[in-house]
Formats: sequence, structure tokens, C-alpha cells
Amino acid sequence: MLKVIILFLLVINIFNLTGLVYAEDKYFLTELELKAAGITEFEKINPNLLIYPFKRLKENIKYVLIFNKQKKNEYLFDLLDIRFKELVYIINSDKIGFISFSADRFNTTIGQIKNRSIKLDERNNTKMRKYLKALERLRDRYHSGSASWEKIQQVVDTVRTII
Amino acid sequence: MAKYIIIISFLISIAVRLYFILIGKHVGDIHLIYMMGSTFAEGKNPYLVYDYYVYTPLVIFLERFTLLLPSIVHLPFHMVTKFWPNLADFLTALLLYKYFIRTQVKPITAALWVALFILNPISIIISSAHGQLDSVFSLFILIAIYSITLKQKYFYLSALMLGISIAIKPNPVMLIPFFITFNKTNLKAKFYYLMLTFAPLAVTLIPFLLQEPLKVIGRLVGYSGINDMGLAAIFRGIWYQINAAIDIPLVNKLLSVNKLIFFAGYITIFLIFSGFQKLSKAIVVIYLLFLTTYFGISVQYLVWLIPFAILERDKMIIPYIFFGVLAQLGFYLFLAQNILLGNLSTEASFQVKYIYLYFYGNLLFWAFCLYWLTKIISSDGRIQISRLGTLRKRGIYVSLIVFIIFFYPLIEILKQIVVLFWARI
Repeated sequence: MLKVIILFLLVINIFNLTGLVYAEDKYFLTELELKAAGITEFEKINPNLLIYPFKRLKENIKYVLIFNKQKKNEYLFDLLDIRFKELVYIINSDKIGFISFSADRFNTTIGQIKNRSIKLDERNNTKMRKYLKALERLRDRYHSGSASWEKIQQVVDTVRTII
Repeated sequence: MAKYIIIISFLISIAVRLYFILIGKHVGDIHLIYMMGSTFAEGKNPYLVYDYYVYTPLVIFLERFTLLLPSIVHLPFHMVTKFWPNLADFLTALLLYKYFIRTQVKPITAALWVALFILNPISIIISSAHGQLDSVFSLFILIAIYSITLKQKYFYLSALMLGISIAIKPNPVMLIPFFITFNKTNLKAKFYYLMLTFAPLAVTLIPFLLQEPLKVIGRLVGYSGINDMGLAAIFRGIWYQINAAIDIPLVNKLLSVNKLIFFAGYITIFLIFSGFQKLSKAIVVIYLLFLTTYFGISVQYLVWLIPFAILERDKMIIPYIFFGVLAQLGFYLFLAQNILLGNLSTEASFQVKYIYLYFYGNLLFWAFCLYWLTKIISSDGRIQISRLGTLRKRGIYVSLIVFIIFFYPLIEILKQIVVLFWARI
């Protein structure tokens, strides 16, 4: 039975590997703008992929196993960076169906940062401003008032709460 | 002790079922069943009125009768109609116990198997949350098995019971060849048996054939199922990655090809297991083949094999229930939360967060069914083949080759899907 399951997971992964694209042809933001927002390359596993929960599981396990408060805080910012790249990938590649889900994941991570009352240092503050700039550009890709526009605006508002 | 196990499991089951019934809503298939009954009550022919699949006539008569009950018992229709499948589950449990005792199974062992049946979440959800009637026809199949295996003189009663189950839902038609070949009877007896199995359907269908009979028959036999579970769910999950679309590409082609594969596999299984003295196990094999190869699987089909696997005391039913519940929960949470949670449902359908449970639940369930099917064929099937004559063995090999050849069109369609997937992901 195990062999059968492994075989099918492999088949699914073949499909998934095809999804590990960097969406270079689909960029809404130019490469320069992406670099300005701190994105040199996208995440290999994004929320549209079926293996995404395993990535989240791995992150959660790592988060639980960090006992040093300072390192835990730093890891949260790493996670926020991952969520931001995922969100940008989803919007850039026009996967509208996943915007709400990706935005919620991003907002949740900001919520975690706020819950831990972490004060933003200069580096993270600059990073947040870069996020804002990129998100506002991405938001304006959609008609104002549309579901996607409102969802991204919600993300923009959430980022502003921690700056 | 056995009595206490049965009483306690029955009480727990009643409590859980009542909970689902009380939080339930008039949604999904309940609404469709209601419309079938009410249209018939208005003197119209539901087969000519609706474009969705209208069940076989006995269900229409049953629901017409059920429509009379809410005003008597002062309960809404969606609660009253669930009485039938739940009653069928409890009667099935009692019949299973009776069967076990008659076949010299220890009372405590029998009681534990019965408890497993009456407490299995798949049946509880389908009967009390979804309100589907699949347990009702399963009960009649069980009576048919009981009649044909334990009391040889009730050969024709078995045909009638099987016929009633077909008049409730048509899928037990695929079991007829196994019942007919179970006993060594002459051709005449087999012919009478066959006629009797179609008698209840024919008799109850008459009132609906007065207008446009060909259209009515076409509607009855033309249904291919809903692509919700098993293979269809796996395809949907993979395709969903592109842009959260729930439509499966080339679905009609897939369905047609899978029909051929199932049919070819059915012939092979029939050649191996016809005349097999474990009739309920042969039924389990056919249902497993259906669940693994067919594309139009609805969530309620998961209950079909449970009573028959329990009748065989096959412990594989435990992981089947486990994986089945995962797949089932994935289905309801992703596609139809209000059917499962009723008034407690707060989210709209198609939430991304539930696609993972839907996909992996169905993947595991499908893989397990395939494993179980292979296991039975390689154990019971191998023994059965060794007892067969040369001609039938050759027939099995030929049908097996045809079965494999029928995978070719499926591979061609899969190639097209992969190309589409690659271009859009």
C-alpha cells in the first residue's frame, strides 16, 4: 500500500514540479520593481500548489522548535517575507482564485508579529515600506472596488498598522 | 454482554444521527428529492419536468408519501425524509447480527461488528446529514443475500428483494449477474430470476411511461453520475492549482473512457467471481472496482460496500472507513458545507483552505480502494481462478487484455490534459 501511495505522490509531484515556475513572462511588476521590493526570485512552493500545506507544516514545526525569543521574532519576519513573495507571485501570475487565501496568510503573519509586540528595527521598517510600495502597485492592477482590489487594500492597511 | 454492546452502540448512533438531523437544512439532494415528490403530487411527471437526474420511481412514490408526514408529525420535510435511510441503517445492523448468529459467529464478535456498522461515520453522515437513500437499497440487497445464501428455497424472494433495490436506485443492476450465477440452477430458473429482478422497476415505472416513454427511459438510463469523489476529485485537485477553477478539463471524454475501463474490468471480475460462494465479497470487489475506475462517483456511493464488507468480517473495512471519512469531510467542507453542518455552516463553498483535505483525502481513499481490490483479487481471486476450467481461464486473460487496451484512450486524454496544465500553470 505504501508503495502505491508513494507512486501516486510522485506522480502528483511531477505535475507540481511543472508549477515551480518563476513567472518571468507574466510579471506585472518589472524585474527592477521586484528587486526594489526585495524580491530576487519567487518562492518555489506557492499557495496554489497542493504541496503547500507541507511547506506550512515544516515552517510551523521550525517555529515551535525555536526557543530563543529573539530568534523566534527574526524567524517571524522571515516568514512574513515568504508570505509576501507568495502573495506577489499569486497576483503577478493572475491567479485571482488564490489572492484571498494568500492575503489572509500574509495578514495572519503580521497579526502574529503584532501579538508578540515586536518593535520594528530600521531594516524591517524599510522592508515594510518596500512591501507597501509594491502592494499598492499590484492593487492598482485591479479595478477599485473589485474583490481583489479590496483584498490587497486590506493587506496594505494591515502593513500600515505595524509601521 | 453482546446485547449491551448493541444497545449502547445503537443509543450512541441515535444521538449522533439526531444531532445531524436537528442541525440539518433543506438543501442539496434533500431539495431535489422534495421537488421530485411534490411535482408528482401535482400530477406532473418529474422525468419530463426536470433536467437534473430524477431517481427511479420507487423513490418518487416514497417521497410522495413522505410529503404527507410533516403536517402529521409537525416536523419539516428535511427531517422527516431522513427517517428512511436511518431506519434502513438500523434494520441492516439487526439483519447483520441475525446473519452472524445463524452462521455460528460468537455473539460478542457479532455485536462488535454490528457496532462498527452502526457507528461508522460514513453511513451516519450520508443518512442523517446528507439524507441520501443509499442505505435503503443496500438493506434490500442484504435481504437478497440473506435469502439466497441461508435459505435456498427463497431463491426467487432474493430476486424480488434485489429488484426492489433496483427500483430505489439503479446501480444494483451491476450485481444481478453475481446473484444469478450464485446457485447452480438451470437456464429457465435463471431467466425467471432475471425477470423478477426487473419486475418492481417495471411495475413502478408504468405511471411515468404514459407520456413520452422513450424520453423517460432515456433520462433513467442516461445518468452517468456526478464527478465529485475518487478519481474525479484527484483530477479536480490537480487542475485547481492553475487558478482555483473547480471544473475538470475534458470531463466528458474522461467519463466516456472510464466507462469503458470499468466495463472491461467488470467483465474480468465477473469471469473470476461468478459462482463465488462468498457473494458479499464479490459485491465488495465490484464496488471497489467501481470506486477505483469510474469517474462519476458521488459522495453517497461510499456507503455501498460497508454492510457487505462487514458481513464478510473483512477488517479492511476499518481503514476504508477512516480514509472514506477523510475524503467525505474534504468533499463537504470544500464543496457543500451546508449539507454537513446545516445551520452551523458559516462559510461559502470552494474555500481554498479545504482543497487540501478534499484532494489528499480522496487520493488516500482511492489508493486504499485500489490496494484493497488488488489484495482480494490476488488472494480470493487467485484461489478462484485455480478452480476454473481452461475455457473460462482463457476468457479471463482475454478480458484482462481488453481491460489494459482500454487504458490507451485514457492515456491519450491524460496527455492532452498535461499539455493544457503545463501551458496554464
